[in-house]
Parts: sequence; C-alpha cells; structure tokens
Amino acid sequence: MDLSANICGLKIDPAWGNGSGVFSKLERLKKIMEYDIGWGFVKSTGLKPRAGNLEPTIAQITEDTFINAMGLPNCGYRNLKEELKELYPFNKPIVCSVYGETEDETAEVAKYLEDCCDAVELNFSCPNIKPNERTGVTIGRDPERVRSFTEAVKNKVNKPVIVKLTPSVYDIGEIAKAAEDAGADAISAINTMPGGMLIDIYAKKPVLTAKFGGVSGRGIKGIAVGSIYKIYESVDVPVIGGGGITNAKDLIEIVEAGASVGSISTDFREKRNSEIEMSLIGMGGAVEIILEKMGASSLKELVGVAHE
Amino acid sequence: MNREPLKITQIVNEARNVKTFMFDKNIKAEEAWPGQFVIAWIPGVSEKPYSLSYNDPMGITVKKFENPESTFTPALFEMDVGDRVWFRGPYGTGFPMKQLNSSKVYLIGGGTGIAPLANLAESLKGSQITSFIGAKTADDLIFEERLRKAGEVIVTTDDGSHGRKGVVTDAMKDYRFSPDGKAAICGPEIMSLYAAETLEQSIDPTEIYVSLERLMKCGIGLCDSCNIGPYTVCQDGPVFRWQEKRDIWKYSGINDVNGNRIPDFGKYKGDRCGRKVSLQ
Repeated sequence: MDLSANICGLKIDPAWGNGSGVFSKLERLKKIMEYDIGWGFVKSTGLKPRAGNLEPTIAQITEDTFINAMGLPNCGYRNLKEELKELYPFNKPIVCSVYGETEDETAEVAKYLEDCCDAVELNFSCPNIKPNERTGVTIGRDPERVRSFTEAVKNKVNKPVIVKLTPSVYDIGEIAKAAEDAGADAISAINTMPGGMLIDIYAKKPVLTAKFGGVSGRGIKGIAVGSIYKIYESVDVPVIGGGGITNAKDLIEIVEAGASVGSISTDFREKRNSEIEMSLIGMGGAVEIILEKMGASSLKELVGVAHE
Repeated sequence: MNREPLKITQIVNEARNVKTFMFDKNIKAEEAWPGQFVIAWIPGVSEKPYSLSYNDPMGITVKKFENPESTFTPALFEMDVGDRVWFRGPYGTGFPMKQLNSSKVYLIGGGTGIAPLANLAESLKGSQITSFIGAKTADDLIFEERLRKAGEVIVTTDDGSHGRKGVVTDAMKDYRFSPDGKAAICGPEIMSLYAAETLEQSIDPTEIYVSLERLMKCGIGLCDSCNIGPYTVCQDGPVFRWQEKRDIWKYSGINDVNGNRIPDFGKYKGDRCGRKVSLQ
C-alpha cells in the first residue's frame, strides 16, 4: 500500500508528520523521525532567543481539546543553526518553521537556515504573540502582508517555502491564494484557533498566565477540515493539513478534504517516546486497512476526493 | 490535567529555606509512585513541578532560592494553613516499587532531592534500605530522621558540620555495596553522575534508577522544554534507568542498550528559550 506523498519535490512516506511546535528540540525530533512518520517540523525560530510566557502555558478544555500559550519560545536562529549543523541531514526531510516581524527579518531567518533543512515554513499563524507584535497571526489575517512576506522569502530562499495559515479569518481561501500568488510552494493549515480561554471557577481567574491561548486538538477538527476544503478549492499548490487528527479516520478525512500530507500535534501528548512509536505504527496500519476496504491502492488517490 | 485546588493543612520547617507543605488529600502509593511529580499552580502567580515528599497526606517539600526571577516559591512561602494551591498530575515515571520491594536498596540523595527518596523509603515493603544523603551544611539537611526509621543512614555535609565532611560520593567510595543491591538516586545531576558511576562498579547498572530535573513547562510531553537528549523528563522520566534494558518496565536509559550515554547528561540543561546552558 502506498502511503506516501510527493510535494515540494520531497517524498514524504508515510504522508504525515508532526506539526511545528511539538518535538521542538532537535535530538527529540530526530528520535521521533526514526518512527513511522514521513517528515519532521522544527519549532518556529526567529532572530532572537525568546523565553515565551510564564506557566501555566497549557490547559485542558475537554478530554482531547487543549489551549496553549507557549509564547513562541525559541533559541534564536543562530543557536538553532549551530545545533542543526551537527544533525543535518536527518533520515527524512525536515522543515524549519520561521517567524519575523518584517519581510526582511523573516527572509533573513529563512535564508540563514535553508542550507540545514529541506523546506521552510512561514509562521503566519501563531496567536501567542505580545501585544503590538506584528508577526504570526497578524500576518495571516492580512492577505497583503501574506503576499509581501511570502514574496520576500521566495526572493531570497531556494528551498521550498510552505505558508502556515490561521483559521481565524473570514476566508482562508483568499489568504491561501495570496500566498500562492506570491510563490508559496505549499499551504499548511491550520494553526491553533486564537482567542481561547479557560477560567478556573474556584480561582476565579483565567488559567493561562497569558489569559488567552490557541485552541488545539479534536475540538477544532471540524474547523481544520473546513479550512482545508476551502484552501483546496482556492489554490493549486499542495496542502499540508492538520488540526485535531487523533486517528486514521481523521487523517483520511483531512486528506479527502484536500490535504496531501497530514500533520499531528496535540495527539502526541502524555506519551513516552515508546508510546509515540506504537501510536504511529497503529496509525499506519489502520490507514492501510481503511484504504483496503475502500478499494484504494494509495493515499494519494484520496486527496481532495470530497470535492468531486 | 484538570487542576484541583487543595488546602494547606500543615507547614513544616525542614531546613534553612526549606519547608514542607501538606495538603488535604491522601494519595495511595498505586495512584502516585514516589518519584512521580505534580505541577502546583498559584493563581495569578505561576506554576511549578514538584515530586511528592509525602503521599498520605500529600506533601511537597520546597526550597526557596534567592533568585529574583522566581515567582512561585516566594508566593508559596507567604502562604498559611488553610490557603489553597492547585495541582495537576501525577505525571511521569516513578521509582519502580515492585522492583524495589523486598530488595537491598541504596538511596542516594542530595539537597531537596532527598524528598522523594524519603517518600520512597516509607513506601517500600520488606526492603533493606541504606541511605547516603548530603547537604551543604547541617542546617540544609532534610529528612535524616525519616530515613533512619527506614534503615542505615550515612550523612555528609560540605563543611563537616554534620556527619562526614565532603560530598555524598566521597562516602560511597569506600563502602562495600552488595552486588544484588538496587539503587535510587535523586539530587544535583553531577552528584547523580558520580553516584551512578560509583554504584555501577558493584551493582547491576540496569537496577540503578536516577531521577532527573529539567525546566518544565507543559508537563505533558508537547513543548520539549524539559527534554534531555531524545527524551522528555516529564513523560519518559523523571526517573530513568542508568542503563536501559529491554523489559516490561520500559524505563528509558541514561545509557542506552549499547552503552551510549545521553550526551547532555551531567553537562547541559535547557534555559527558558531552549538554549543549552552548562550544568556546572
């Protein structure tokens, strides 16, 4: 059974990986990539080292829906490259996620890292930014800025450029089209849903120190499927789809909506490495069984079938 | 991972800048093994992980450091009996109780790392326990009496104000360890490194369990703030085997089955940005 995808000139086999933000340390990512996963995403990096928000940075809304406000902690692009140089190439493609407040800054970070990764992902979607900070979700809500940032990076970088979008917009298809027009090689969606909050009724306070956070997990799967469906209708470049994938059926649903590759994040919680390895083996086996029952011989042939 | 508010029922001064806070909850050993940890939240302040120093009633033993950046411990030290702290967990691997019951067990602890070991000593059944514990001075030492009730105790202090002068591993050097012994280690990582290297000369390295500490944020294995090498301390740890072994217990090893050590062990930890900083 062919579970692979070919996008951005890369073979991704099987056609799923982690979302940027989980497995943020390279040694851990490298270990996870020995398991049944097609590629790996490095956590978003910017110009300067950044500590992120004070804990609590994560809270559980329902059994499998979470809210986080890590606040983009990262070691900065120079430190990251020092570590990447030691480990690159990995056994499979890796993607560096980058962010910046200006076009030049974003392009500089992407350019600096491109020789130590196989593609870059532009984070136009992180909701956990400081007040008045002009990165992450503030870019992804503005098609003009999506266009100008993507263009700036495409002008400098030779590796494939993926644009990661926020679901927190009126028409994600329009935003995806702006990225495609500016030369994006793929669209990734969705990042966490911004503006979530959990209040502890006894403490009488929001749990997260940052008060608001991005919602992830099963509770946003419907938004992910709808977003990917809309993006698939709006662009010709491939889509990397994630948001609440917890099992093989979720993955296939996202593929049918239009994603060539699935991405999994929140579902990796509360697992030791050995348990992550087992859950990925289980996912692969279950996808094969479902495809067999459908009479399909590859995952590829299901991409976007819900549109026909 | 819901956070549960618990009332402080008792506050005990254990040593200089070290207090135990007891809460109105009893935790049976099978619900939280000694060595597992909880994450404590003070609303409006911050959140921090602690191993349990007592299960029944539940207690955490906390050292207040003179660190201008720390927010949690100063706020906790201001609290009184009746005030509430919120908890989630327990998380992570504990010490393997079934393995350590009815055995010859060596406990090696330094500083507040002695706390989960005292809990372990009181939870073990039918084991013969020898503890090596160390602190900077006599005023910094905790839980000597609890460990004495469980077995033999060898104390060291850096300045010689109590017990033998020196560090824990000095006292271990000329001790004859029983080859069928097992060990649990918790304390500063450099101490753990030398203690484990001393112990592995005499006892099975797959029966040496080491509790590690790293800066922890999410506690559920997603953010990788607490990672060491390929592992997260919050999920794969905090208790690791010194030498990994393929068996039903599946403890991850500081040294893998081929004897390769996690390169950062005893050397580097991550800061809040995820940069590596020296442990020295």
